[in-house]
Amino acid sequence: MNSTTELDHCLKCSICQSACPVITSASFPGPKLLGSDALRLLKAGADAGAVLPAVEACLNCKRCELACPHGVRITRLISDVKERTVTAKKHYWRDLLLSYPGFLGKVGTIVPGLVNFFLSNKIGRKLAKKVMSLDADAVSNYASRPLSRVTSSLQAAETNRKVVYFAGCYANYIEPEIGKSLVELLGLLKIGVVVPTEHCCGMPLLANGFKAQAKKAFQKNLKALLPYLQEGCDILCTCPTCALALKQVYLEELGTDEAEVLSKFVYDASEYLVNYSDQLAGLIKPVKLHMVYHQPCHTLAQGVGQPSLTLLKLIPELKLQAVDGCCGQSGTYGFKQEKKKISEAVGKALFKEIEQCAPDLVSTDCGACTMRIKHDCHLDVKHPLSVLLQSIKTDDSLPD
Amino acid sequence: MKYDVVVIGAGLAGMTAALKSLIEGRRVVVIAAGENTLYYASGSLDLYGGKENPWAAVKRLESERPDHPYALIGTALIEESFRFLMGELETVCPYQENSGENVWVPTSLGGFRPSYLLPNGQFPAVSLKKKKVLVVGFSSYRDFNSRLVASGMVSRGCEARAIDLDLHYDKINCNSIDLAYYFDDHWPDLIKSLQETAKDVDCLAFPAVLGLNNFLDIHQNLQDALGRPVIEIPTLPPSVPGIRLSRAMLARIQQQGAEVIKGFPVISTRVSDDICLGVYIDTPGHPRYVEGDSFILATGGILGGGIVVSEKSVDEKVFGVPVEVPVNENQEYPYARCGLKANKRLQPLDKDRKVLYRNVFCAGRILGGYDPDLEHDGAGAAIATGYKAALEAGRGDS
Ligand SMILES: Cc1cc2nc3c(=O)[nH]c(=O)nc-3n(C[C@H](O)[C@H](O)[C@H](O)COP(=O)(O)OP(=O)(O)OC[C@H]3O[C@@H](n4cnc5c(N)ncnc54)[C@H](O)[C@@H]3O)c2cc1C
Ligand code: SF4
Ligand code: SF4
Repeated sequence: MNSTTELDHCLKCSICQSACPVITSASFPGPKLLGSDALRLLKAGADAGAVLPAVEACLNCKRCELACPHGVRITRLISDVKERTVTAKKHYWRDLLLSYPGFLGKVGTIVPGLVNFFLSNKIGRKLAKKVMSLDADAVSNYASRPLSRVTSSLQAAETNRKVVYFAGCYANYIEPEIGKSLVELLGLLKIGVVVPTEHCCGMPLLANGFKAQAKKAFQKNLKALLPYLQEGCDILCTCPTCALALKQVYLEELGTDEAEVLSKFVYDASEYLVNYSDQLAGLIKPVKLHMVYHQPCHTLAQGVGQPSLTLLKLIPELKLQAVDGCCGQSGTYGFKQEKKKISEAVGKALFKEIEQCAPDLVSTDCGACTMRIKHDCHLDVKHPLSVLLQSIKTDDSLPD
Repeated sequence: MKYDVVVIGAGLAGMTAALKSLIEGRRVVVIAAGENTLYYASGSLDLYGGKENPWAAVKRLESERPDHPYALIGTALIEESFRFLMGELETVCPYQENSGENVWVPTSLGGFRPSYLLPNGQFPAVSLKKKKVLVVGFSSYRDFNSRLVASGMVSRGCEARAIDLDLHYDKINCNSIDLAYYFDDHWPDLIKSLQETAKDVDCLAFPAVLGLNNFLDIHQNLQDALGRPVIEIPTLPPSVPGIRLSRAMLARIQQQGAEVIKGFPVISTRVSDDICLGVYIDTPGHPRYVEGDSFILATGGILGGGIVVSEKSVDEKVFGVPVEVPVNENQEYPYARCGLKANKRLQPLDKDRKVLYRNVFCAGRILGGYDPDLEHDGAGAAIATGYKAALEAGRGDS
């Protein structure tokens, strides 16, 4: 369905407005106005006027879409509006740069000491604020070695089948432990893993309105993954946004047969591993900890239920609580100075809920959520698969 | 993964069914294409509208209209289902009843409608008669005309007058949801603006936008501070009291351990003879297959998405159960009564009244034989059939 026909599915019921975490901001008109209403005006060549600059404040969390009873792909309409207004961006160059986390990651991991030093240092943070309008207080540390270089040194396990791991920028450059955990867990299940040369999934570009560049990134990944698809390999993602991109967004934006084939082979890593629950349960040892699990928006948007929570429930003696709600980080959105207030307002309720639980540890699948929760709740945050692996390797308490 | 009960649809019927199943200790998954019709409804829950006592009406329907959902359930179980839901909601979104009678609740179009279970914000309507009422509107909110509401009250024997407050909140296209979130934080301003004026009246009426998250405290605090009953009048959609109820039920279901998959429709099923084995959800990438012992079909009517009307036919798309469309029984609009036929166990029937699937149970607006818009029995039918479907699903396909 193209976005013109989709416009007609909207009944203007405003249900999407109630689901949007940004709606409490007085300057944000909400998904109905920014999606079908604005696009209708723009397509007709009319002036969509005052609402347009606000489109940048959309988190692309997709909660509006899940609420819509009439199947309107609202965020797709919003991304069309973003594309049409991208040249009017106030922070065009900063946003373009931030939309290439793969590039930033390469720089960050080649010279992690330097970048981390720069951002952890007062003058560096001030410079970032002034020149880039970035809130560097919240930016995470880069890893000292990217994942792809780590995994190539892992021993190839004796395997029954092979899957592809699409690591994404977060596991690649900031927390390679996630990728290592997945590779080890799969090894225990005698499943072999290939990690292709990394490219960013392209979602940051799309979320920032750079649709043409995003489509290039989609094509590049599609081309890199195609040979594995021909071998019949499943593709696993530990990042919910990458998974959603490969499952849904590539197909929506490119509309090619290849994108359709790809979409059918992609799994959220926990969605995949939950099928091996019985085997994993046999390996897992009790962990005496109190943990909160936070479900990221883009896991919800895949409609997979809560596979990570199901996996974590396998761990005996782990006291688990689940929380729901958007954290407000949305990739690099929460780092942007002018978005800081909105981002904080969005996350407030979630952070309060987490703090009220007073856990030893938080677990969530998404890298952006991880950074935000670490920063705002001052708690350690781990990917569910890292928690799972640690419960297999040791019965000592986490975190190590 | 196999569930004891797979609930399809997260409206009032599906969520009541899910809650009851969970309390009975079942493993439950709730699958919903999106939000439900409570988002349009008043948030007050109808049993049966009209001049006669609603329970007397239910008894009468039991004998006069064998196809009415109430006739399938029976008075005793309907009462039980209402008590069950009230109990579940007691702390999160409490409902009250008027000793077995209907209450006439004011509407935002200046009329009054009969309803049965009322949320705290609407319950003061019980004693509205002959009172001096101040109807408070907001200048930035165009969906609520305080003068229209006040004149409606006057025609009912109240002494009502209207004022409009300027909130200095000028959000573009400001609707009920914007205001409800706004008042979650800014409700104390209302006390400041109304403290003096309130002294001259017995009661204050607002559009039902007084908070989405803190609504219970806000209502209580306003009544305490102003020293008078505060009544919330349901607005045009989106309806805040309906959203509060829907969210409270969903939170309760999640708290009780159900898995919830929202945002994607069920598109097909796997069956073997008259048993359903599982359903497919249209999720990104690959359809998701969910297996279960019992299935509750609560996908709503035409507006909810359960019944699909096209130029040539009227269909139920998940199981392909035939939809009965009554032809001209002196009704103005036969579509209102269209829906599925079910037996007393709520199993769906084919055209020859034979059970189509033994482990599928239907609940809510998807059932035929009643007309909530005329009869004011929508919520009652959804709660009663949802509750019954859960009991039957627990009993299995025997
Ligand atoms: C405008 C309006 C106002 C009303 N006001 C009142 C009132 O004031 N008081 C009162 O008592 N009653 C009122 N009613 C009636 C009452 O609200 C409804 O009859 C009742 O809520 C129906 O509930 P339900 O659970 O059967 O269906 P719905 O609320 O329609 O829910 C259906 C659910 O099924 C989902 N669904 C649909 N198709 C699929 C699929 N293929 N796969 C998965 N999920 C699917 C939908 O997304 C939704 O979650 C009103 C109704 C309307 C339309
Ligand atoms: S996009 Fe969907 S939820 Fe939003 S107004 Fe349109 S139909 Fe309603
Ligand atoms: S994607 Fe999220 S932030 Fe953007 S309009 Fe939809 S609900 Fe709001």
